[in-house]
Amino acid sequence: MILSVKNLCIAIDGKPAVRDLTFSVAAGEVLGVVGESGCGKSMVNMALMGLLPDGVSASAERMEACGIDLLRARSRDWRALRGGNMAMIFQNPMSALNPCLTIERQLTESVLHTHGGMSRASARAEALRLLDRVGIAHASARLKSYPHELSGGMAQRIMIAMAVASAPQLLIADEPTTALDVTVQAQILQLLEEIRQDTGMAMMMVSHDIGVIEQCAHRVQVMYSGQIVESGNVGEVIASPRHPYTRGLVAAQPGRNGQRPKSRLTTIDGSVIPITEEVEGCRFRSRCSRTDHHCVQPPTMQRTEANSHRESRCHW
Amino acid sequence: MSLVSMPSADTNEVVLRVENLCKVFRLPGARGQVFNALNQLNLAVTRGRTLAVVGESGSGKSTMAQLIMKLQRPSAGRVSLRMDSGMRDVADLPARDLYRKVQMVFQDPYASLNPRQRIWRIVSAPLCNYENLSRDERRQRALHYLHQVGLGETQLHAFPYMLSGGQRQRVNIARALATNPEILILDEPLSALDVSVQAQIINLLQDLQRDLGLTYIFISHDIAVVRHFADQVLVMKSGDMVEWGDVDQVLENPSQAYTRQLLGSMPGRPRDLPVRKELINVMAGG
Repeated sequence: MILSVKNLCIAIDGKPAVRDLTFSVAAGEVLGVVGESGCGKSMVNMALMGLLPDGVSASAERMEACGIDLLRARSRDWRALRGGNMAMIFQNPMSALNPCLTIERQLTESVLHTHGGMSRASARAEALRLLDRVGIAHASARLKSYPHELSGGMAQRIMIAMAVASAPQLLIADEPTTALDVTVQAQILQLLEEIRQDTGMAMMMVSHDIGVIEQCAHRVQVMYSGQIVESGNVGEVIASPRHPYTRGLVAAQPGRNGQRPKSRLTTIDGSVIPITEEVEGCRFRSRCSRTDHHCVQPPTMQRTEANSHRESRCHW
Repeated sequence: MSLVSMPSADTNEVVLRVENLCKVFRLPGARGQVFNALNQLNLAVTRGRTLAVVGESGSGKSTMAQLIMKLQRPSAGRVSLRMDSGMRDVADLPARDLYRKVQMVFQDPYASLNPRQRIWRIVSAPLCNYENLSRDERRQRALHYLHQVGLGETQLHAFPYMLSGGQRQRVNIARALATNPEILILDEPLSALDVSVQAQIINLLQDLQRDLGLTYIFISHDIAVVRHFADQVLVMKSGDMVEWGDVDQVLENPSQAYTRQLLGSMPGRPRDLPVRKELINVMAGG
């Protein structure tokens, strides 16, 4: 396993927010994480990268990445991990790049971080190779550009180049295509898939878009209000979701389940309960259409089929 | 691309017509350099129907909306609107008459509401251009429109920060409804919302259209939503009109290569579908 997490809990100002997350990612595998805003997706990423802000703390029974125990990692270990075996790309590539520095400066920084004693000239050559790898034309001219001269798609390609500079074993992609046009999104997803096939890196792909996850992930885990509510093979989960929340999420997408144009879409009533709010029993209970007396007990993840790896946090 | 023939009296009544509409922006700095945001756009919008406008960023979708709303002046061509007296050029219409007929809902529900005003004030603000209303009357009217979008008394005195994204977008729609318009221009009204909330807003827009007979111009980049929601679709690229027609026809049987590329880019299809890969490579090259 490249990444193995057991009972990860994250608290904001001492209040539990993310609760008992257990999951793992194998080498070369793409794990999709789906959830709506405020479900804790990004906080999990930050915890994995050791980037949680002040006042937010993480605890776990186990949290290991690339053979390193993240629970005991000191700042030196973190520095070696980030931009080493683990890398991350973000939702908005424009705000992730430094507007005052050229692409060359920013890209060679990643290269030099990986290859300590490299000369400036070879770092530049490596940067050119990376730009070429992520499909940027006229690479040497692009090195002189500043971020404002790039389109969103090109900026995201450069973020990917910086991330894969160190040939990471795990890439965390936090909504990498949300800010992009659909055609550009398709190109970026294709690029990530190509790199994954070439290098065998594992990916954790976080998105609110079920379509994106369906296209690029092998397994999916659905998050709701700080918990994993369903997990399993991507095709199976989307084709026949077990948890009422996943069911609602899939049905809310136009064009799924053969809805007729102009028909009423299925919605999930109510709104997401704040992630730090304490709830008795199931956290989805207040919005669920099929609740009974079992639902006042906190549900656990249960296997839904005898011989598959699908799990759902619902007693139904 | 041909203009639709003159419509028959009521069933296919054209309420908005765009003819040879162009917008050229002068680029800053370099002298004489221009950017063609919109080239020779022709289209007609039918009463009670939804026209979807799809295209990538920079395709001219929002420029079109701004020209219709007179927020920009066209470089050439014209927009005409059906008034009681017949089709009238928007350029000759006083703003107050135009905004009675056409209203707009913006993309970002977080940025398009004044954070320092209470909801009743925001929703009833458009009315103050037409009538002299007391505070109580304004609140009453605001409540009426909030009811139409599924909100109520609880939100009347709230500030925007107290509301969720979906509720804010409902407030935006309520404000647009306040002048009893016939046409709503919806500029990516769903893209800032979560999937389950998107579905609620789509349902609301469909209900309002049915109950109030509204005409929608729906700007979007989400083909699945367009297929579900629209009657006609206009595909745009770099300011040019690529294709225009009924949704079934254009999306099921696109005549233009670009429309096919756009459809092929929709996420969620199986991996390694050969057609898909080929399309993506074409686009990456072009």
